[in-house]
Amino acid sequence: MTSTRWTMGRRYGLGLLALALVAFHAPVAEAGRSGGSRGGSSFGGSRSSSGGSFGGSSRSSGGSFGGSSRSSGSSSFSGSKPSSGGSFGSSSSSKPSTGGSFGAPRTAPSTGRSTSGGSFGSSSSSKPSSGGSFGSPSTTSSRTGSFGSAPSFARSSSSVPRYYSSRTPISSSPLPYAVAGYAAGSLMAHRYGGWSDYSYGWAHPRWYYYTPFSPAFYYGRPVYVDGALYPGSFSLGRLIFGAIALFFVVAIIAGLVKGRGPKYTTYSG
Amino acid sequence: MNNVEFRTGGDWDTTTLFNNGEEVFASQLFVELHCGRDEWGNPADGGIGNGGEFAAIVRLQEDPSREVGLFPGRLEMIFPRHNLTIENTHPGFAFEFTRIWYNGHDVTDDVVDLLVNIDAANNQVQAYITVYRSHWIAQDEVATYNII
Repeated sequence: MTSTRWTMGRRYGLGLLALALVAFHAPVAEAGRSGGSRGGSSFGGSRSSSGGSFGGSSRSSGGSFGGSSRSSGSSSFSGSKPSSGGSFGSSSSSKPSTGGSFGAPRTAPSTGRSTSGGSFGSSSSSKPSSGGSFGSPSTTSSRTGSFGSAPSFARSSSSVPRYYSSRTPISSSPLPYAVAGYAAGSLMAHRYGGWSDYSYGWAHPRWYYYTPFSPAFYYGRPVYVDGALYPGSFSLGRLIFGAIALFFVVAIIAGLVKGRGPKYTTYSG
Repeated sequence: MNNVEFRTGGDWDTTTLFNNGEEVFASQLFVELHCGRDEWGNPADGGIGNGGEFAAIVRLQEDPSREVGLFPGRLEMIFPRHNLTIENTHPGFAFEFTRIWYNGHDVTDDVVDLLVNIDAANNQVQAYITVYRSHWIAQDEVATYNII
């Protein structure tokens, strides 16, 4: 039941994300369409006279994928159409100096492109100086678990935990982890055997990890040190808390059972 | 101080009663104990400690109308497959000084009822013990063991 609910929520979340992306990209797409209407072939277009397409040959009149304001005939990602390149994300007329193409070399000064190349699916006005990115700015800024920093499930530290510093790991293997239920990446995890491996369960926690009935409950989150993960330490406080919680659970069950009064039995022989 | 031993093999011919090593010719052995109850009279854990009533007498063949007390002292009753021992060495036969073993187990704090009635005159034999078995999680049990 719980997994179904998570799946539905995940689907709704993805749906809302898709709607947000569509809404966000609509003006850009609209601009692209307007640009394309003036003279250009669009993504995948194959006009015989002037339209280059995605993956087209180096014809002299090929349209570009991202639109281009170039006057010269340098090739873009899919071809070249010097005077009327169709665009996907921007219009050559509205942004004559910044029209970027997807995949065109940014360092080519002869193309007349500025350093603020267009982006695939993002607005150049929101990040004018950051160059092209493959995702939207918002998703880039909120991404977690990036390179060089501890993922959200781990505790960052500058040194290896003392308990493991003098021990040799039994094995070291990449540990995939998830953030908010989604696969986010993997990090090298050193394993020392025993129950300490339960600490890595926090990389993809389940609801019962937060209860005293799971061994992972008694271990802290992994420690992130220099791009690698070490098991978290055993928590005596959680053990005491777990024992108290278990005692109360047993006491409640015993109270419910014993509250019915004694049973009467007779043995003969 | 009496040291009584009752022994039976299941019929009258094998039933004997000794006191301090001497055979006693009795017509009835009667032991009755009621204890181990809460304030509402329901069986409860605690046994002798909860207080109760205790009677242990012997009627001799020579004078069946006279009841002879067995305590203070020790009474050991041996039945087929059962063994019951009661001890109270308090000079005043104080109830709380009573101790009971059933098949070698001390049931002093668990006993609820005990009855032994060996009545040769009326040809009646009855013996049982009821103990309160307290369980930590499971439901408590009031177990009655029919001895004979």
